Amino acid sequence: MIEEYLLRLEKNLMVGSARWVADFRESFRGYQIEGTRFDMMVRGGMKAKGFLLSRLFSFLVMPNYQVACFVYSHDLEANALRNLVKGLLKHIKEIGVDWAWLVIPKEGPFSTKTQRMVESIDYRELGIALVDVAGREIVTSSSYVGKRMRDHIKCFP
Amino acid sequence: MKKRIAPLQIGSLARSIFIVLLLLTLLWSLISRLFLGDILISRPLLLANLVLSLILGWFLYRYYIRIVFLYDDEGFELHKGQRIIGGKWGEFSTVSLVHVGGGNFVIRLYRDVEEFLDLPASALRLDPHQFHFEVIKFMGENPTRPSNEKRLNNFPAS
Repeated sequence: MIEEYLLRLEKNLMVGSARWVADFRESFRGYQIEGTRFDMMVRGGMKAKGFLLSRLFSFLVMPNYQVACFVYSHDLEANALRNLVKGLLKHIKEIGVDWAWLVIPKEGPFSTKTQRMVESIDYRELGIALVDVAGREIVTSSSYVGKRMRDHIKCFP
Repeated sequence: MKKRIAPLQIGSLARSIFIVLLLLTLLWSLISRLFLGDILISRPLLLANLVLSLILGWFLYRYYIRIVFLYDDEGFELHKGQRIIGGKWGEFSTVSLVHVGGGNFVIRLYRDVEEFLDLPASALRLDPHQFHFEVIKFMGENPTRPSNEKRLNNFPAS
């Protein structure tokens, strides 16, 4: 079920509704950051290619932000999540990503502690979402980036 | 035995025929203007031009544009017309799926930080996501190695 969700998410990011937010162009599976292995990392920019007018509009209006979406489908407790987020924030800074999404899908509900922790996180450059694939529920962080991701990661199998 | 993927790329074939038709028309216009003093247009000439364009366009497509892909779990061969690019899966350190626009995907194989090779999954009418998984399997357990981080620092700006 998680694999199916990842596949749908990858499609939605690259050619689906998420293209209204950013042009997610390149997808890596099994992406490593030091000791942590993310199931997927999709990277892109905010300048869409398009044809004449959209290209011109994008060139003139859109900021040249580099963006990424990381997916980590392992069970996480609040402490592990804190460390993961810290490591990720450091990494996105290193690779020059301006903002990123972190999607944590799981078959089943997350603990209340983890949910509360995610809701209280307010990093400007990182949006976090806990996705209960079986229960079709999403909890996101309270930042603008976090709130915006809800509609684009809602691709349940 | 290597699996052979060689679908008819209708778009490329149509493009080759159109290019040849355009060139032949321009050539005929020039010749006719130089030797007859006017651009001669007639139905048999147009038909002959069209038939010639179909034949030459097909040759242009067949020998210079057509993409044929052969692969097994050891390596692959990518034929672009008469050019052949080959490699072993083990030579590459990282693989990714890239959307190149218009719903077309390529599988990008990174040899190192700068050098990469694109396998045109959509042009070969392969399911890009499935093919990505297949290549990951060929490359082994870990499709992104630590060198990946270094490469991502040089990720091209959009």
